[in-house]
Amino acid sequence: MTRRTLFLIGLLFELVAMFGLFLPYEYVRMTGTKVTLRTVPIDPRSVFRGDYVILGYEAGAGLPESPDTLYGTPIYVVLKDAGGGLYERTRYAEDVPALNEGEVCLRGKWFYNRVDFPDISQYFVTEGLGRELEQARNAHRLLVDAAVSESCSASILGLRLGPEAPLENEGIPSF
Amino acid sequence: MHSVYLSLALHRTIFSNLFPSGRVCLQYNRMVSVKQALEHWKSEGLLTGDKVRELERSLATGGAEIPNRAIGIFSAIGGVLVGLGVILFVGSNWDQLTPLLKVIVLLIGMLGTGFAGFHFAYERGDYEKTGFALLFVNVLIFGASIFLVAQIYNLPLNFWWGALLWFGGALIFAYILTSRLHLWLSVPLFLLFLGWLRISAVTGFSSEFDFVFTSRQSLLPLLPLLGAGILSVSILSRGKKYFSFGVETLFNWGLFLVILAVVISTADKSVFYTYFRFPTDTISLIVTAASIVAFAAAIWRGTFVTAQGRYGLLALALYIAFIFILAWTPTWMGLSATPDYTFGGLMDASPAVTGFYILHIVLAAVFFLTAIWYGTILRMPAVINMGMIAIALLIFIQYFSWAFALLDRSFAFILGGVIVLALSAALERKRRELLMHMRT
Repeated sequence: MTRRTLFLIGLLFELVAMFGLFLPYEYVRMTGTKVTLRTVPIDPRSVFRGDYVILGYEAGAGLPESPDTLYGTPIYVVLKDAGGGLYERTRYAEDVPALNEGEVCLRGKWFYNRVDFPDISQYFVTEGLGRELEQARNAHRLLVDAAVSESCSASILGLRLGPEAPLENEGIPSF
Repeated sequence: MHSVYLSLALHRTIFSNLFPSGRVCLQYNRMVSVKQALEHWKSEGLLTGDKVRELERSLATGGAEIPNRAIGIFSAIGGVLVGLGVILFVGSNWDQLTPLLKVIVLLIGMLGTGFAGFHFAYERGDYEKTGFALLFVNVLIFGASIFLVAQIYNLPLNFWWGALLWFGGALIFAYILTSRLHLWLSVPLFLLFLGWLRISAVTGFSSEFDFVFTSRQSLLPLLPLLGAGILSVSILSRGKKYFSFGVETLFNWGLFLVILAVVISTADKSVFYTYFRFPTDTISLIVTAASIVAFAAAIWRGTFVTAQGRYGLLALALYIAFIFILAWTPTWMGLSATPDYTFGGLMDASPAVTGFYILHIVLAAVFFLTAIWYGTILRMPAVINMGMIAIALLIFIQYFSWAFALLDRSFAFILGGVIVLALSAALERKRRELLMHMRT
C-alpha cells in the first residue's frame, strides 16, 4: 500500500470520526422526548470550547446522603411532566427503571446528596455571555429544554430564562 | 550520487542517533562511503527508501543544514500558532456563524491543509518542511473540529472519546507520515484521554483539569507507570522498520513522565504520601497491567544499546515499584487508618514517616544522576538535559523546604540565591563538558 493510499485512509478516518460524533446526539435530539428542567448555574471557562455554564438541576438535588461506595456510580432519575412541559423528579433508581406513561428518565452519577447529569451538565455560550447568564440568574431561573431518549441519555436543545423568582426565596439548594 | 566520505565521528553520530540498537555490525575503525552505508542499512531493512533519500538530501545540503533546521523550527512554530488560533476560534463560539458554517469552515481547513501538506512534503518535495507543518496543522484542526462538535452538542467536559479520537488521528498520521511531530503530540493527547476517561469512571462530572491536581482523580501516580510503559514501547520499536522513527521521541517522553512524577513527589511529604497511593480503580489497574506487559516484553525482546541497558530497565521497574511501596509503608505500619486522612501533624509526629520521605529524596537524586550518566554514555542530549533540570529542581525544592525552618528568612533567601547561582554555573559548565565530550 502506498503512502498516498495510507494518507487518504488517514483523512477518511478524520472525516468518519468527525461526522460519527454527530450522529448519536442528533438522533437523541430528533427522536427523544422534549422536556424542560429547572437549573442552578455558574459560569467557568473551558480551555477547548470557551465559555460555558455549568448546570445543576433541581431534579438532581436534595437526595439523601449516599454512602462513599456509591460516589460516582450511575443513578437513574425518573421525571414526569408537572405542568406546562416542566418536568420534575418522581423517583430514582440504581438500575434502568421501568417507565410509566408520561415518564422519562435521566442517567446521572451520585455526588454525595445530589445527582449530576453529565449529558446535560454544561452549556457552551458565546464568549462573555456566561457572565450575563449568571447575572440573569439573580432575577430569573434558567430553564433547559432537552431531548431525552428511552435509554435515559439526553441532549440540550436550548437555554431560556424562566419567569420565576430568585432561588434564595425558594430555599432550593444551590451547588 | 555523491561519493562523500564520512569521518569516524560523523559516522558514529549518525549511527548512534538513528540506530542505537547496535545490531548492525559495521566497524567503526574504517572509513565507509555514505552510499555503501546507506545501501547496507537499506538491505538490512533498517532504512526505508524514503529515509535513504532524506539522508542523501541532508548530506547534499552539507553546510546548509543549520538554516534547513531553522526552517523546520519556524514551520513547526507557524503550524502550532495556526492550530492554536483555530482552537481559540472554536472557543470564542461566535454567534455570527451558525454551527453548520463553522463545521464547513473547519472541514475545508482540515482537508485543505491535509492535501496541501501531502503535496508539498511528498509529491513536489521542494517544500518539505512547510508541507510537514501543514500536515501538523491538519491534525490540530481535526482536534478543533472534535471540540466544535462537543461544543455544539454541549457534551461533557471530560469528553474522553473526543480525546481518544484526536489521539487516534495523531497516532495514525505519525505512522503514515513517519512524523515525529505527530508522535510527539499523540503522547499528551493520550494522557488527556486517560485522565478524562478515569474521571468519568471514578467520579463522573468534574472540571477539565481535575485529573491533574485533584488527589482522588489525579493521574500523577500513574505517570511513572505510563512513562515506563512508553519507554518500553520505545525500546521494543528499535530496529523495527516502520517504528524506528519514533524511538527517540517515545524514549524521551517516557523518561520525562517518570522524572516529572518523581520531581513533583519531592515537593512535600504530603504530596508524596497523598498522591503516590496506588490507585485501585479498574482503569488504573489496566494501565498498570499494560505497563508491566510492555516492561516484560522490552526486557525479554527489546533491543538495547549497551549490555547494561536491560538491567537498567529492570532497575527502573524496581525503583518505581519501590516508590509505591514506600508511599504505602506508613499505612502498613498503622500510622494511618483510612486512605483519605489529613496528614499534617500526623506526618510531623512520626520520625519513621519523615525518614521514609528522606530516603525517597535520596533515591530520587540517585535516579536523576543515573539519567545524566545514561545520557552521557548513550550520547543523548535530551536525557542529559532532563536529568540536569531534575537534579537542579530537587536541590532547589529541598533547600526551600528546609532552609526556612533552620535559618532567618533573609539569610535563607540570600543563601538560596547564592546556591542557585552557583548551581546554575556548575550545571552550565558540566552540561557543556558533557555535550562536548559527546561530540568528540
